[in-house]
Amino acid sequence: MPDAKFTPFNMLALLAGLIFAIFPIFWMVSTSFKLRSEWVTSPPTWVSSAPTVDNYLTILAPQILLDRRGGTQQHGDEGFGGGKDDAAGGAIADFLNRSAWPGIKGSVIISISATILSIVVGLMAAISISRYRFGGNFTPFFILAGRMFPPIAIAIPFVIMFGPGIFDITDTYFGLIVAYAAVTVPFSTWMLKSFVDELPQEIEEAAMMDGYSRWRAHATVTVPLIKGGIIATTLFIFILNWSEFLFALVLTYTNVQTIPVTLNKYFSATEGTLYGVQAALAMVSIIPLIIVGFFIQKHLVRGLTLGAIKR
Amino acid sequence: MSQVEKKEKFLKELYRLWGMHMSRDYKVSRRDLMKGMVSLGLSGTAISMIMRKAPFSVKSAWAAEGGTPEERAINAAKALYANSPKKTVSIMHPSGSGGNMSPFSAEWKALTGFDVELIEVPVTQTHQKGMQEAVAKTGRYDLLLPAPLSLPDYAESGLAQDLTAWVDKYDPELFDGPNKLEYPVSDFGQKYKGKIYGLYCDGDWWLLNYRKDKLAEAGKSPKQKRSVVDTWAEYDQLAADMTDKANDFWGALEYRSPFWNKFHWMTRFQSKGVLYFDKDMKSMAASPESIKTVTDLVNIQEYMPPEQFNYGFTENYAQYYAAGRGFFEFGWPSLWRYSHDVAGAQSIIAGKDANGPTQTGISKVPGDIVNGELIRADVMPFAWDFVVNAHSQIPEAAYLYAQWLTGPTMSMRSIPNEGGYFDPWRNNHFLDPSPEFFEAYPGDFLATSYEAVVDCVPEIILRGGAEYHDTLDRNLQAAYNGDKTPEQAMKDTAKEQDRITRRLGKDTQIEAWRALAAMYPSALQQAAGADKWS
Repeated sequence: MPDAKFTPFNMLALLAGLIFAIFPIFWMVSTSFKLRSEWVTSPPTWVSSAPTVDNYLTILAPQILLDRRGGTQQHGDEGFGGGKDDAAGGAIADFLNRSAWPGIKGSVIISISATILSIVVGLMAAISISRYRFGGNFTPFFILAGRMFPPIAIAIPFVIMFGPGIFDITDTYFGLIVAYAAVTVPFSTWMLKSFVDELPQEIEEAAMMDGYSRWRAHATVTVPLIKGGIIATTLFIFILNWSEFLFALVLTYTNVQTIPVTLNKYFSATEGTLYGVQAALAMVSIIPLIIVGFFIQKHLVRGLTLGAIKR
Repeated sequence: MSQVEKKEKFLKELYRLWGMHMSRDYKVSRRDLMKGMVSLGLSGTAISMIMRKAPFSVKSAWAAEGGTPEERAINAAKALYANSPKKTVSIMHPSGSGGNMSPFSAEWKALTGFDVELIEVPVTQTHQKGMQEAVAKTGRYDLLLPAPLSLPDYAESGLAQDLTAWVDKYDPELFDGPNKLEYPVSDFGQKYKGKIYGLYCDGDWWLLNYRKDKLAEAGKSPKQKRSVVDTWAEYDQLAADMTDKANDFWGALEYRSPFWNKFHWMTRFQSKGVLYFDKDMKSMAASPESIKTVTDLVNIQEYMPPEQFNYGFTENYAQYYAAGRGFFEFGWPSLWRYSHDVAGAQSIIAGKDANGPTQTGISKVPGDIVNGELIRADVMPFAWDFVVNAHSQIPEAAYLYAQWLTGPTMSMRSIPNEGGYFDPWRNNHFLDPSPEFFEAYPGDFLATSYEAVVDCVPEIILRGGAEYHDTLDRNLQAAYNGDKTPEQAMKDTAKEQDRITRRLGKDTQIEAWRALAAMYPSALQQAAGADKWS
């Protein structure tokens, strides 16, 4: 519809959609700077009257807060019972004994490694299925079958398999990387297969006619031509790994932590949910995604539209 | 016969018996055998009876070396250390509770050699992580820290170690002596089907907090010293009287959001002399008493702020009670503790003078008159238990750590610490608190809480407890929101609960339920007729 005009109604609808999409992010940013007393109020506090960075300090540098309040009160301390919790934002007592850095470090290592592994395996699977009909017609569905039931159904088998009796890789980076890759390979295979399918096979055949081996033809012809698709798939898989909670919960104890599990720990039976601290950690956790998304946006758009127009 | 002759005869007999033992040719007659067996049985019985009646210290010394639960635990753990296949006690604990344990880990190591490793899991995932261990059997945790609601599932799945023998052997002073736990709390949060599976590290029964300054301003006074009102009718009336909507001051701050809402029903309903189920495990949710309870709970919403439908415990407390905008609030011990955290400024009603808190008062929960007697059913939602992992490599050492930390002296030290959940449960906490302990729970709290303990009732601590709770939660919420009438909501609850019972196996559930019902306060058991069930 080349003649369609952008009417004020369109503008309003777009604005409403934008507000709907942006509001959760606004609320997260706002809450991350709120005082503890403003986290849940009626009527709601839209923007803090006295913004604080204590929520960020709680996750990134809790020692500063701990020093400011003179440590936690323990039995025998002088002036015991006076209460040291300040009215400012941030968590109290037990939550100040550790930062969220181990979770951030774990998420970075695991998500990057598992994404690379998933993309490499998925790409090879996609090419072998698309070009060589590896395993016949059933293989793609067999691979996808791994995602046809809820992850919780395979969580316990993973725990047993990864436990001391068999592989003994629970609570290790390697274990979680393997688990994440295993869970995301069906996605990467199917997404990449669709990009490979759209690429004319004749281009690779021409390369082979010129003397390229299959491996070299795919590496130098197929992969560069579906680069946008690979990048889009990579980002998608990275987001899946970055936000994964269940496997990180059941396959770790103390050595390995990830952001989603750490986020969940800022909740206690007596303190309730530490909304401000959780919002601060959520803010920190989306920054890498925003940066990566910004730099690869050109490829992303190309990748997402690759194959949209049929030959 | 002279003494010398007697001695000779005795020695001869002894040599004869010894020779009998040594000689291959000698045959013991049936009569001698029977005599021996009977003597042995009578001696055993006599020793057992003597020890049962023996003074506490004698019994303790007999069971294990040491005069206190802590000493016995330390001595036994020290003895175990050398040959222990694992030198660290690993503890799975809910997020935010480390402050009650971490300050004492070095002390335990110095005393016994065992290290302590705290493995924190999100508080909402403790039950699931335990059940995961039940299947995976990794032995990664030696101790777990679940709520009593998890005990049946943990026990039935083989995860929770039966602690009964160790409790007998090491005597953590749970049921006798000045430091014991008062019945029925001593039983229903630690036992399942008659066996001990958990050691409390936290007591969590509800008390009713109220604004005593506002009560005085209104020219009223508490009904009794430890009870601002006696009955639910009085509670409803006072909540109505104290409400001042124009000035945003509300009579009742009850929980009306999912998950939290059911605890009000549990305490109100059972004070009418009816339990969750009848003798044959048929749900009593649709009984007239239950429907009346829900109707009353809906009616009192007129004196509650509208945000109650969204707020949980902490939000409710912070935004209304601590902000000075509400009169009554039911709650856990931490509510009282925070209310008097003057320096913390978490509460604008904080304040105390030489006579104790100036603005807030504490009271036992109201009850109902049943057969001429006032019945209170003070629900204990949550609490936390130490449970020993049956798949641990060092279950006994793990038990001993739990006995040590929950002992009368150690618990007195750990509970008041910051950054934890643990609240008082032993008698010495209430009756003989240390200055630090009293500082953390000032005023009338400890005395009132001690009086209330005898009225405590459990949650539905059965296998599938979370499912029974969930159906109750959903239907109550529908009634509170006006989506269902109280009758319909409770009929649906009963139907769903009966279905859960059938699915889990009616016979085993009946057995567990009767065991739980036998751990109710005796007055409530009698009112419900549960005292005649077995």
